[in-house]
Amino acid sequence: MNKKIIQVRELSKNFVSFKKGEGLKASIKDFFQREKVLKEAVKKVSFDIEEGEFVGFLGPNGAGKTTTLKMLTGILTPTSGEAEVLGFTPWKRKLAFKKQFSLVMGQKNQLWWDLPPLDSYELFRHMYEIPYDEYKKSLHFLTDLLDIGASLETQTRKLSLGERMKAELIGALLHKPKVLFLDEPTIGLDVVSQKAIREFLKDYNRETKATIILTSHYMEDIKRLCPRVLIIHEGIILYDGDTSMLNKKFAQNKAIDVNFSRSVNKKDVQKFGEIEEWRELGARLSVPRAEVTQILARLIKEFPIDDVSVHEKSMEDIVSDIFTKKNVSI
Amino acid sequence: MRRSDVKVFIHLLKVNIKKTLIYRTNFWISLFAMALWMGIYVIFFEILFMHIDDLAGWSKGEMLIFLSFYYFVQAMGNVLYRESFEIFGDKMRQGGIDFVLTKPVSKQILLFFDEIRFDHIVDFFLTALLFVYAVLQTGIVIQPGLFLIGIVLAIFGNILFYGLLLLIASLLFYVDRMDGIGSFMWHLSQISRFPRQIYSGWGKWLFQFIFPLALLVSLPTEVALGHIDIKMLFYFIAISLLFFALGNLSFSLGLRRYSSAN
Repeated sequence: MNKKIIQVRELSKNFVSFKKGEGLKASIKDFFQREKVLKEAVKKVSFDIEEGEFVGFLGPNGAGKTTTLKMLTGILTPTSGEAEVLGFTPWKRKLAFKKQFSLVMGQKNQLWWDLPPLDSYELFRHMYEIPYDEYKKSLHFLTDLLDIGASLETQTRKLSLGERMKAELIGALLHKPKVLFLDEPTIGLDVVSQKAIREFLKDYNRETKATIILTSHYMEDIKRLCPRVLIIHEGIILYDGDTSMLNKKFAQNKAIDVNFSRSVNKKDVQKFGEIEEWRELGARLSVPRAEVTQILARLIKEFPIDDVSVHEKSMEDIVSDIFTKKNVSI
Repeated sequence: MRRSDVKVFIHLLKVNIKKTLIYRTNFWISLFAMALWMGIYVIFFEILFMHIDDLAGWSKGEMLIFLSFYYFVQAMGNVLYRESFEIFGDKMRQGGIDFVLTKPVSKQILLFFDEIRFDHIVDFFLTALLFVYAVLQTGIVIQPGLFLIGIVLAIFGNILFYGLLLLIASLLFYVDRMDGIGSFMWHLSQISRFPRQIYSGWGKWLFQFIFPLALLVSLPTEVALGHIDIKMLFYFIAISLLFFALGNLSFSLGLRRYSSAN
């Protein structure tokens, strides 16, 4: 068994904000008397991550994934609970800890806007006290892997979004971090750039054995990269396990795709399950997993069937169902 | 300060020189603006001293020397940390200090010395011109040794002011928003624009002993002019270090309350 590199126990984070009423009258009232609102962004989450794992953190906006990541990187101090990353308490912000991890945020820049990325890298070299030869070697390795050589001499603000994310990744990896936290690194990128970043992360994890924690809205990122996924919703972890086992765990239903040789009555078909999609000569039905065989036999018997197939629900659908609490056992 | 902090600071210096060279028009505008302000103040004192013989015991020549020390203290702040403090509030509200907290280097170097304004280097040149003008105009003799001690004390004045700014900046961790904090910080320095002797009654206690901004320029200038008050001198050094320590402490405590932004 690999070494546990991240241990999280009952970690919670609350934010206090103020309720703001609508209109000028309410604004004047709020100016003198404010009503506090407590938001529990993360509620007693616990999990462990082993060395070399590539773990996905999946959740809708406001689910608590970025807040969790910020606590694990020491940016935020939790309201309660404990966490250890590489043997350190993150929010104590020890230098020895900070030298061993890296954080990349898809929506925030850490490179100087007006200067080429190479200038920022030089700063990172001093920050992390990377010997010059080692720095050159790392830079060469990462530049090759990401195929972005010439752009590093262009002002950051003049780079495309895809190039900028590649440049951000290089900056984050120069000191060879043992743990890499990625917060939506593919957000806003076109399909080609998303694919390039994914390929890079996959290769990097394989070659360096670095532990990677990735948050993303995109199922594709999680499917392609993370053997393990943590699904978080409203501050609570709903699932922590194999990405490939999501179906068995959550999908109570399977989908039956059926094509008819002539048009049939929709009401007759509805008796067999929930209609997810209705076409002129076909339908997609959602039926309980245990009743698939029986329903399939009845469909074939009662309707003029041209073609029929049974599918597991797509991961996108399952996750969407989890977040909307539809057809899933949570 | 660790070795890597020094290297990072030197790198920030180099990078900011590059930035200054990219925006060269900005450099000439800064030169013009500073020369204009300094010129206006010199004219103001020239006119003022047509009507009075001294200002709270300071002659015209001494006031011009005072003014050159004032601009020297200001120039250090202008070059090194003024801009960074002015944008700190916005940076914090937008979650811009997230990355700073994850880097293995002094947070203050990254936050308050990242916008070094080399275009303000000209302030030192203009200050030197003013100093020469004051000495030539009034015939005041300045001892080189005392002048050097005055310069060292002016550096302490900056340490005091930096500590005070850190204290004020720390308030941002406790309130939602403080618009205008940047300009407020800088207006504070205006208290040091006149000799400490002009403040009397509660003003004397407030600006010499509680928020000792009246000492920032007065003490270094008095020493350079040979008017040495040993007790005040030691008090000035001690309170500068105290404010620096208090600023650091409040900033560290404030950082624990940092709530970032999405």
